Amino acid sequence: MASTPRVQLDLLLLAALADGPAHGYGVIERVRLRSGARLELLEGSVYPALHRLEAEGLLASRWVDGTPRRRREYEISGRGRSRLRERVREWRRVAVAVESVIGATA
Amino acid sequence: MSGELSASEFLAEFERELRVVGRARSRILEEIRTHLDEAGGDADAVAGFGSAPLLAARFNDLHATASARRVMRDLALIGPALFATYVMSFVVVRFGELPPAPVRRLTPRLTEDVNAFTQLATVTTSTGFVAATLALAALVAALGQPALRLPAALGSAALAVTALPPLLALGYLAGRDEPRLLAPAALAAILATVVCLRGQERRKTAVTLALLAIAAFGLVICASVAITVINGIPAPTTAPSAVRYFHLALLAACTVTLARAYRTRRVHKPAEVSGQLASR
Repeated sequence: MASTPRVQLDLLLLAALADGPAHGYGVIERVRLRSGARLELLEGSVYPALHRLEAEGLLASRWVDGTPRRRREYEISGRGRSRLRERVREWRRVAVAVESVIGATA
Repeated sequence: MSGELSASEFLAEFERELRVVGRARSRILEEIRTHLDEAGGDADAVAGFGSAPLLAARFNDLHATASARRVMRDLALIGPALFATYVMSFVVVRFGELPPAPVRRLTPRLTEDVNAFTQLATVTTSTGFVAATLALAALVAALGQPALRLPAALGSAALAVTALPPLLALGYLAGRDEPRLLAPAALAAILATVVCLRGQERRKTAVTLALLAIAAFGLVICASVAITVINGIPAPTTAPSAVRYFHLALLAACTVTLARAYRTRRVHKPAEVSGQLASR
């Protein structure tokens, strides 16, 4: 197993939901697929984070019918999209800065 | 380790540790159950949730904070209401009279010379009682936690106890018997708050309630002292000079306790996740 990078969970969740509503399991799958299976979010972090983001007004949620049972679907709000844009800008700034420091180190 | 638990065992343990109540609890349990069903009860999915007590603690913490914020918002009304009472006192001392009661029908038992101060004092005495009982309830609830922050709890208790005499005096000044009549209601409020706090992370909620009660009464004490200093005569609830000095000492204790309570608050930061690089 390679080394474990630390990423901003909020950024990943908001980005995953920017494409459309999804329930918790769906969000985890979406991140896994879009990262080429390089990032696997832990359920124990994701669900509390989804609740927290909803409490902060960045997400909205509702029950939708599903099989075998109904699901709680999350959708990014207007405020969530603004926060996502901020976080993406921050992340890119940090990424450029880190790249400058590590340079051409193999 | 939770990875060795079956999905049903994990859910049972999680449900035991989860202290969130009501619809929020039902929702959390249903979401976790749905996720495990969709994952086919897979051992990796159970392992991904981590320890059931730790997961429950995250939800307990999150909902206790939200509950405390709502309490803060509601209790924030008490400070200005009590402050208004002392402003009324100032008006009486300065100008010798008060405007008539704005809503006469609200207090039909009062005599004809009811005025705005009387009516306002009745309302604010009641709300002040609620704040005092909540502060006491916060102390009672917090006592069950071994990691109790004594300065904040002691300040809360001292404030609640010493704020009661001025409130009783205020009620007496208003010519009302509400303070005595409110005693059963105050006891019920204490018991109800303790029961509610039992389901949450008590220490954090208790500190928050104590902080708000301290802020509300600190405001009242500041106004009382200001009136005393400005007018050079005792405000209604600080007639003897010894009581005035006591209020100054209480104000100092409130300030110190407020600062200590603020330092005990944990700052919530955005959670970070460990992403795993799968080897190819």
